[in-house]
Amino acid sequence: MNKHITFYKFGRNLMKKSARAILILIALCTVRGVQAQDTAPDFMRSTGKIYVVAAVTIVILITLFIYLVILDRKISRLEKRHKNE
Amino acid sequence: MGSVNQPDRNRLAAWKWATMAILLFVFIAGWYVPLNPGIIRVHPDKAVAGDSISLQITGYNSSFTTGDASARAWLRFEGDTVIKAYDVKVIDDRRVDARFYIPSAMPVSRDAYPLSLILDHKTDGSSVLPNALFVTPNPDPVASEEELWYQSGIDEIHEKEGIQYPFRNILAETIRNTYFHVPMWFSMIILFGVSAWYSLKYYRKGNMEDDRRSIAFVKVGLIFGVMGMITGMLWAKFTWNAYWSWDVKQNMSAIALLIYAALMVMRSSVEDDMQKARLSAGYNMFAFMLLIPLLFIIPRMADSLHPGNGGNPAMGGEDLDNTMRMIFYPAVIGWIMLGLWISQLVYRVDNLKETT
Amino acid sequence: MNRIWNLVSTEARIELRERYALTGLLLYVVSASFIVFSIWRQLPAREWGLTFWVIFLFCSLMAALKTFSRESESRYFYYYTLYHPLELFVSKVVYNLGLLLFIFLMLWLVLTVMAGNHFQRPGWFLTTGVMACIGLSFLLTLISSIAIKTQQNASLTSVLALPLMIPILINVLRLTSYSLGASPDENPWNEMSLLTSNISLVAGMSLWLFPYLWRS
Repeated sequence: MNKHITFYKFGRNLMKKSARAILILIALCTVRGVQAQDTAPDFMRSTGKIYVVAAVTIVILITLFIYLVILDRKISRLEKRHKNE
Repeated sequence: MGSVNQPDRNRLAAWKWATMAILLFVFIAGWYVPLNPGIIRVHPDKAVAGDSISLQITGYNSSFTTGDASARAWLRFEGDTVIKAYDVKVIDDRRVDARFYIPSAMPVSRDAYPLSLILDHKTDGSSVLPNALFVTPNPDPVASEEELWYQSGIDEIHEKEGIQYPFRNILAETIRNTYFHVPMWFSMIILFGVSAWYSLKYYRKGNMEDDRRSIAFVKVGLIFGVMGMITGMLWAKFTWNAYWSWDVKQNMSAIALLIYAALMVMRSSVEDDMQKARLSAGYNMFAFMLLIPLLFIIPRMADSLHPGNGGNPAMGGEDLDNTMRMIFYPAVIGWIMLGLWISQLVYRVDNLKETT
Repeated sequence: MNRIWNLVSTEARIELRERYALTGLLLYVVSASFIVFSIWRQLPAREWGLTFWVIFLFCSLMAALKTFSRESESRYFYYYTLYHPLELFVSKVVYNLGLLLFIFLMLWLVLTVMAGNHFQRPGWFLTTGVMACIGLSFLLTLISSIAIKTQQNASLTSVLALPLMIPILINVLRLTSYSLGASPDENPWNEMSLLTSNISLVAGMSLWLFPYLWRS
């Protein structure tokens, strides 16, 4: 029972933290957006736009990892059910 | 996908090892191989005919000081109408100053003349900047100067040795995205195709396993489609200057995703399993057949920002050179195999969930 | 053939008896075009075509929603024992085609009265409209036969049908702009053959799949 509560707290903490991280990320993005109106090349366009390639690669990897995590959780749920039977 | 029923699951199938090897190769080659030297910027970019100008050329990835540190430069109007720089001075690895005299008389009469800049270096090879300089006509031209346009030609062009990707002006380094963004769509179409094939099998035999397989492929196809869409939007933002520019291919792929998302929504709202399987098999086959004109015929009939449109077969001709092909084809195969692999895993999980 | 005609006429008789259905559809067409027109005020030729098809799209969805929903469970069973599924399907398609043609002509009339006539080639527009009605009636009948078996029939019909309607709609829009004279130098036969093949694909697929989907 106790374990459950700590887990719950941990989860809530994690949620709060990730929410804050997302907020900061959004703020950063908007700042970037304002800066992008300058004539000088911004961060994403610097060094031959190599960071676009980096972003694309990261997006693919992150999506795949998220999917992996979902799959992993599905399997552990199955395992639990299997054990109970 | 015969390996699903193999009794010996402890050893990873050879094609899965191959997938990893291919994708590793794609990632390494896609990131490691350098870009051809190119020209990013020219200053000034406007001139009046009859001017004698000094162009400051900024190179990308270039090393102008190597060799004898000399280069040649031309401004080209159309075809053979070329003027050569009378003096080219290399300042450092990234900068070159070229002096041109632009004749006051032009070969044809127009409001403005876009000139392309061509730079040739012994070790760096040649590079081109289209529409580098806009020339406005001189109010009182000297007719005899028209001949200057035909006096020199572009000759003895060098090529850089070694393996590198071509430098395209707006694309620059993002040409590497060809190995990451484009195969997403190929994989999506293949996965949806395989899914339709299993739907057909379900239609014929009524085996619930085939239904689960077909849905696993749809799920992973959707993931690949979403990845293709996000990466495409990112790429478009920094090359076409908008996340979404209502390009035909963008629209068609969005519609394809909508169709299959609708399939998943429909499945979740039917309770009876047999009914669910039958409806989704029918809809899946119907949707895939309608997808064929959507993805392959309509984009070719309209103008598009994507390469390979307006009647051309996709990914042919100038858009891919031989070096890129050597990595692009493995990339397509590798990503498709990864998609098949993941869908197999999803199928196996779903199957366990239903049967145990 | 006779049996199909029987079904269609029964369907039509029921529809006419419950007069609110048809008048409701008519009212929907008029009020939708009135709202759109009061927003636009003045419709140039190109926008006329676009508005026409947007309104038509939603009206046809409205009409198709009722394809199977009017029947009770027992009537299904009755049909199932009495008629071959293809006969049922074809009769529904014919009936829906009638409805869509009715919407098409009404909408044309209403929009012409409200926003003026912009056509340079009305014959082409009529052919396009008839073709679109044929294709959409096949598609919508099949989709509503799928959606009726799910829990949320109304929203699923549009969710399933809208993305599938787009290929037909794109062709139809191009042909409409041709008949409006908005893109005069295009070759309409090319577009028309594409539309025809698209519609025959839809028709063939739905004729093949309906008997399978109908079993339950």
